[in-house]
Amino acid sequence: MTDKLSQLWRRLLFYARRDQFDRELEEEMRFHMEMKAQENAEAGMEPLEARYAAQRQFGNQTLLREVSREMWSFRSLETLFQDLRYGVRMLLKNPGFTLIAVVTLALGIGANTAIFSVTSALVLRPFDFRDLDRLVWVYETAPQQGNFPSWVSPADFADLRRQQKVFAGLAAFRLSNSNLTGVGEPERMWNSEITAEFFRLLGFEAAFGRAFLPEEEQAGRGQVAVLGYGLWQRRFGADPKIIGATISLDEKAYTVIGVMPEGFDFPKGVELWTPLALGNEAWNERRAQSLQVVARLKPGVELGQVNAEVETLAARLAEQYPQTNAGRGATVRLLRHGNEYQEVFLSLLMGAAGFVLLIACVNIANMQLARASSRSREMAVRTALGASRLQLVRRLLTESLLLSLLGGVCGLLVAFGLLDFIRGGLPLDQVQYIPGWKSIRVNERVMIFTLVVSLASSVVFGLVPALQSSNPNLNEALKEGGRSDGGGAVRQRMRKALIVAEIALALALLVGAGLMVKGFARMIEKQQQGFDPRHALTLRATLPPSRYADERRIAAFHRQAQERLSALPGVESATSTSFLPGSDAWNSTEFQIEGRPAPPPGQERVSSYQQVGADYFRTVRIPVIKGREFSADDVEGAPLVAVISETLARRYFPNEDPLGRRVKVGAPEPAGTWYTVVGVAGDVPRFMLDREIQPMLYLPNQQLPDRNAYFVVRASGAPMAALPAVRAQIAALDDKLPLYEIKIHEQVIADRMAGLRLVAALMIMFGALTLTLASVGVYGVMAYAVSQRTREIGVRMALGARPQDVLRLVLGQSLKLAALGLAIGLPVALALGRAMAGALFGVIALDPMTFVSFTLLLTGAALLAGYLPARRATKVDPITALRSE
Amino acid sequence: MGNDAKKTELVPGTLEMLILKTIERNAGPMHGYGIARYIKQISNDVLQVEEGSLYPALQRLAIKGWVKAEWGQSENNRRARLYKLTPAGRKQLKQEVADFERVLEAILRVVQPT
Repeated sequence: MTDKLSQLWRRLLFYARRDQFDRELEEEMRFHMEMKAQENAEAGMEPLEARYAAQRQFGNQTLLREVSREMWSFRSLETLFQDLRYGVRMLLKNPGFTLIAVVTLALGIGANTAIFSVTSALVLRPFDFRDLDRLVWVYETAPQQGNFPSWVSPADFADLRRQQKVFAGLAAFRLSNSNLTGVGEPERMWNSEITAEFFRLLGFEAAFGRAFLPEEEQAGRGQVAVLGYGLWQRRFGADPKIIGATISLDEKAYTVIGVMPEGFDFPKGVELWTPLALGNEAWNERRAQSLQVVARLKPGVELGQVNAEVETLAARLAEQYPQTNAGRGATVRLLRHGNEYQEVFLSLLMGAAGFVLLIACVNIANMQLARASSRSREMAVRTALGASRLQLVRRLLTESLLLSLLGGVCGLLVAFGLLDFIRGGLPLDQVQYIPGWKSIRVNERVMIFTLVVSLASSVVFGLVPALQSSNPNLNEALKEGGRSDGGGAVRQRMRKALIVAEIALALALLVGAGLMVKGFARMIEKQQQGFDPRHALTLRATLPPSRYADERRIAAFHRQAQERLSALPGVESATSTSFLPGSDAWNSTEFQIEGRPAPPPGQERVSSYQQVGADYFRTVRIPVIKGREFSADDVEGAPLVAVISETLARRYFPNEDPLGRRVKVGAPEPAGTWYTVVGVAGDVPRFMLDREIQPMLYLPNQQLPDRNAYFVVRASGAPMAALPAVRAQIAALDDKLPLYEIKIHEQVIADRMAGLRLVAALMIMFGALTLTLASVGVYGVMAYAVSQRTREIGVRMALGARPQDVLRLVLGQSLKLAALGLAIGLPVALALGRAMAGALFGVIALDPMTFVSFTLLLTGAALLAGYLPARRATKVDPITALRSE
Repeated sequence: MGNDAKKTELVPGTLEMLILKTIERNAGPMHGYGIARYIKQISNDVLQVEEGSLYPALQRLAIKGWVKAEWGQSENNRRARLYKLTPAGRKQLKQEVADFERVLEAILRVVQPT
């Protein structure tokens, strides 16, 4: 130990005096050489000859000095500094190269950093929960219906909770939307009804006060509430005496028992929790899957085990309750993997960003190779002076490392910009429901990612050129003297291979991005098919149960509101509906057709349904194909009527006229009320990710009222101009009713599509970047190739070649490279397209337009990139060219 | 190079021992050139120490604290860097020689006809 210490001390001492050391070593060697010369002279040599002989015998002095010095110094550290110093010098000497390389890298690294930041926030750590990877969603599935995960019915949840052995705990919750009144303005807000173990399971306790008790899950005991920190601050002035106070939700009284700590907002966007106090009857409900279920795994239990267990339990339930549970399975998925589509989008973006960086690296590798030609002499001299190949490679790699670190730092700046763009790409009322969105930022994890990516790219773009140029042919390089080195056939071939790879990559990325963007465009277009969202003002109102206890009052409100709104000047028509078309929300139900037997369990007739007011189809502009739409006469007491969609008509009434047939919503038993079909309306897509149009059943909200409704007001002029009058009319009916989600219908859809549009915009950005980089890359190689052939071209011209011959020569070469790259890129693009069509709805794998147009685009880019240097070549004056060497 | 004697590669790992031994034999401090020449002479030109390895080896010994370098006068009154053994170096030499003899003996036992 003391040995090591004293060694370290001696080294430090040396380091402080290394100039002196150099001088002394020099002197020592001079002394040695003189002694040797003297020895030679004594052996009878001429003095001069004796001296030369001594020098020869001594060997490579520079090397010896280096080696002796390395003996002392902190070798790796010092050579690193030396290499770094050298690297900085080289980069400063070529500011043009450095600038282009750093910008190229910054774009590539920045794109990756930004997308990774989003992925990190949304997928890796969307919730700030302890042991996040032990938390799962529990879903029920129906294999007959494509295993689409659905929520869990209350009775199934209760059984699961009682019988399972793999979870440390299970909690169920459902979202509801309530009017909070009592303090200040009435406010519409999301609240969540939860089971007692909910908070503890997620690893949270109330900041003060308490959470719910198991007995508060009983109906009648559940009039207690826990507030979110934000709500408490905003609405109750952070009053610590709030515990025990009474608040009013949908005009029912709740006692505040606790406040959650800051930052807890699960489910996303919720600021108020009440117990899931279902009555006995509701707890026995097995059909309607109304609960979302989260669970924490027991320590040591694997995800596969859990899946097997819930699968077994679900099978047991299916056996016990075939009426409701036949074919129903169950599955779990990690809590942080709650959004499948989001993950598909993010991985596609990550892949695209990776391509961009790869292409950037290829470009820089190419530039390095071009530079290597002009540096081959430097390398030769260094080798002659005793530098080993390893030293040269290390030095060149250090240079690349410096470049990539610079690129990484600038890439962070690019990432900041991109992240701003991404954050601004989604409307605020949407992002509050995206777990993790608020924590999108460049944090330590992202920084480490950026560093690793930078280092990795330095190897990608630095290694080949370094190995290439560190192996110079000494004789050739030194003999060539001051002449510019042709670069050697190997190097040229390598550069061409890189260009071919670059074009292939670019084609694959462009086609992939093109297919995706086209698919999205198709989806966005489809989202507004079948109706007209322009010039329609939409707003939402939910009638509180306390004042609208019975259905008659709800119906009366909707009827009066519709009459008042329709009568407004500047309003063409007005209506109400339980869902807005194009907003991706719907209700689904089993339904029956009069005179037909009920299908066996598991094969029920299923349709979306919505309750709408009179004039709905006229106001939203859905064509009525057959029969009529609902009128002001379709009220309670009048014959019950229904309108069905074209798809429903086609699927369930294939060869008959549906008009006059009767349908019933719900299970076959008990016998319910039948609605007579009076009209067939055009199809409206229900959900943007549906693979096919789903059937839809419309019922009049005067006959089946729904307290939750949107009003749609079609204006002849600017829709927003009608808003004050609309508000006044509603207030005249009920001045305590909050109106919310006030938007033009077009905007509702645009907001809904904002995510797709953002992904598409990023894809287009990456595609454009790729195209630019590839063009610059081809241009660089061609320009260099032409400059290397100036002399040859001069000779050709002197021998009578016309400019168009030269043009053809150069363009032919660049076209050949492009053709080869495209030939390799096409199958890659095809495979990519097929993979994307499988993962993403709306993408068509074999879209000839996309393939043809991007192939042509890249060919054009390659031609242009070849044309510019080629034209320059035709301007070569043969005399100058011949003299240029 | 002007010398017909067959050049023999040093047994790996023995250079440091040879240097230490050379300095020990020579009562006073020695310079690099002297060490090389001495090894060559004493071994009848069989062992040749390359300058390219001699000086790095001397640095190594100095780092380890087994020799100490000082500027002094050479035999022909020139300024020269002279190396002398430290007590630690002396101990190290003893150790290395012992090890070496043990190994050599073992090798001889293997290669000598019985």
